[in-house]
Amino acid sequence: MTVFEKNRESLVQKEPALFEGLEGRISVEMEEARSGGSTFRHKGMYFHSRYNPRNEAALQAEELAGKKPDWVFLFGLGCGHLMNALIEKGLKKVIVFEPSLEILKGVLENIDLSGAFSEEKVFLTAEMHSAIEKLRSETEGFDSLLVYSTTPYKSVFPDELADFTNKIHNAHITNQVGIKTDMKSRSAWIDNYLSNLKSLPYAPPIDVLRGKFKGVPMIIAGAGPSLKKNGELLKEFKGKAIIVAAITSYKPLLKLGVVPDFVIASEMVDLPEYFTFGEDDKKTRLILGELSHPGMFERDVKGKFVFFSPYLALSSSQAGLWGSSYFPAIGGSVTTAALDMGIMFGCNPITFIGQDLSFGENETHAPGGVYVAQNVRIDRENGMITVEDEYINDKQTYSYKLQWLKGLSGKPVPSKYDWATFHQWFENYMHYLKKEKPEVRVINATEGGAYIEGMEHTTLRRVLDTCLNGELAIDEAIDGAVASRPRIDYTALEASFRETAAVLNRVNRLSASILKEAAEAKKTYGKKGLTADLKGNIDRIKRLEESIFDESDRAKFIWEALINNTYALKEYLKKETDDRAGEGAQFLRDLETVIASYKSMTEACQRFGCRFEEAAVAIREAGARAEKRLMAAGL
Amino acid sequence: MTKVYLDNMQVDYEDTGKDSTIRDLVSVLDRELGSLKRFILELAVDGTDAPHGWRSGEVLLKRLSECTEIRLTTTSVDDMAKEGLETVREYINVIGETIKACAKDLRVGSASAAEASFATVFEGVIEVVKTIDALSQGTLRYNMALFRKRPEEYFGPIHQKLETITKIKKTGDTVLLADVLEYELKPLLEEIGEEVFH
Repeated sequence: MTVFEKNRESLVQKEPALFEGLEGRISVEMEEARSGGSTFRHKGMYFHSRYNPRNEAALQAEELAGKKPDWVFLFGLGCGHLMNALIEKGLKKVIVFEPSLEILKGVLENIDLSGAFSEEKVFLTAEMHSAIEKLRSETEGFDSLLVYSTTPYKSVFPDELADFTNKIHNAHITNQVGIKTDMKSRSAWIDNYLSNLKSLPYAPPIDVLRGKFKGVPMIIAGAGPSLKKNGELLKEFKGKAIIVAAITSYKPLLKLGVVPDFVIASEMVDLPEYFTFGEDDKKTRLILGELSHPGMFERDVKGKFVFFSPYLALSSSQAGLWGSSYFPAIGGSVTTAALDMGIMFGCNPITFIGQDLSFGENETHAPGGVYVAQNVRIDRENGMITVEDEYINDKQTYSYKLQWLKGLSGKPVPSKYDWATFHQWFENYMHYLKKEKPEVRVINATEGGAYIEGMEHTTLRRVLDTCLNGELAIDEAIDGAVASRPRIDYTALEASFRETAAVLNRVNRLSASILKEAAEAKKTYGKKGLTADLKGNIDRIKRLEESIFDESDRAKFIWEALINNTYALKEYLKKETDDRAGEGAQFLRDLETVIASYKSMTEACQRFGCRFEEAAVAIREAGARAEKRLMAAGL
Repeated sequence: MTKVYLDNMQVDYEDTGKDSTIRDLVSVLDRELGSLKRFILELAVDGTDAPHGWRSGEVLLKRLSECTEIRLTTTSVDDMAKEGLETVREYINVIGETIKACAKDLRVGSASAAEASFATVFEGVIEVVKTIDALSQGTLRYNMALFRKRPEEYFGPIHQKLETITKIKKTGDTVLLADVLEYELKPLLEEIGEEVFH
């Protein structure tokens, strides 16, 4: 087996795409260092010592280990000396990005790094988006990440390094924001879904439109400041393309004389201020997430569709019973979900407008919406951005950490974490779309703001001139699809709620028993200290916990309801133990943590146990009503 | 009339034209002391010590007629050479340590720290060569056996190394720069320390 084959064998499972671009490439030429090991010269620079590259890497690893990162993001594989040194130092969570295929090929052909690549958490990639994806799938917002590059890589690939660092930073912020969103939203999402049960029979799943608009152009309108530049042109698209508006752009579009075919929203709070409560509302249809606020399902519009997100185990496990088998890829904003839906509909091309993902001259959103006045101040020195806005009648001031994205002109444009997150999602999505569905054209006709890699960039006028094919029977296609929506399995839904309620009751009892054991253990510790008498309590707690884990396998939703506790526990486990405090104090701290966790668990079980019983009843009644309707219709 | 003291003993010095400078006085005394293998080390003018490096300073241009008292202190050439050698040896060690730190900073990417220690190394090596050269001149003049091997043999390689280093620095190849400093210049200086001195 050649060195290259060995390396490939150890990497092909983790990063199959790595080897695709290597064929036909020139390899960088290796030189033997005087004390063993290899080095090479690229673009006039040595990348490792010609004398002792291993010692050099050991020095670098020592320096990095001192910073105690959870993950090291290494820009540049080189000959793998630093990667090996990091592993030797115990830093075994490493994501390596190699910007040069020439270097990569030379190294993989000549240096056996299969040992390092076989480490579970050591990854190598030559594609930026893959590094970001690894960050998303392997790391957590809690983790401390360290981006490092040796000086030769810094000198030879400065732009790539800046891009890499920026993207890693943005993706890590996304992870952190994800945790915050989880903590803030998950409980509300569960409540919303349960409250929406009464509305879902009247909102067909969005996948009834699967493949119904093959080759039909779609326009997705965001509410970015640039919408004012070309939004008016949308009037000429009406009836010739499907127009989907993010909820924030609905009113601005009405101001421009355009009623969109769909308005998409998924906010967990009610947003009545985004509607007119007049005739225009009745001319458009809503696409709502199943976790949206129940108030959104009550809007008086032409029609409502629902989409199920993969984020909530409860609703996603029941989606099939509602007749849906589609979970859109969502990058945090409704326009990202709209793109995925457009592809599911069969639309082509799909054009974005108002998708600035950056601040405008002195505004965050296009005029005509809920923002009456805006004032944006950029503080470059401190990397902050302050936005004062008047939202309906409320004046508010927000400060954000400034982030930068590559603009349409190539120059950086100011952005903030959530927009940067959406931007990264779009680029990642486009990467895969190009591979899987190269025939689909996605156009960014925003005419301002951020450049989105992978999309075509042109003007809306050009799209108008080149992509429309005449009038379309949009309403007929939608009505036909709605009429043929799959039946809802009320019986299975009711059974699902009853079964989950039963699991919650059992978990509640087990949690209460743990609390009792923990209270006894605390009492014993108070009287006798850390003695063998505690063993019985601890063993019983462990057994009860195992039973809870077995039970909760049947109701994964319980962990989502307890997400704040899960994160609190993770934080607790990450904290370094204070050895000076002694074993007794540590035992007591652990016990208190156990008590706090299971208190929350019993509260959640009791709260949701009742709600699930109610849900089961509501579903049975809805099922009965549906049956009556069908009988009345003679079906 | 100016009083001149040599090692606390008053000596006669005739300033006939009233236009002699301290340099003239020192030159005359250097010549006389040469045969005794002694060397003027310190100078004080009107109670004020001349600063280190006074032999190339402005104080020598002062006219004797403007001074009231000049004190000169001598040392034996042997003592001075030994002291000079010891200083060079110590300085070579210090440069060796600084090279190590500089190479480490270059390797781990601490650019500003590397830049500071690089300047110290570069200037230090030049100073060492200058001092060894001065000592070497002295050994010829006073017929002393200070060195085991002629130090001049190393001047060429050191000069070459410094030239190489300057060129590499301009290219920005920090890995190569660290290598040359750590694995070429440092061993060369260590060799001087081991081979040249007794």
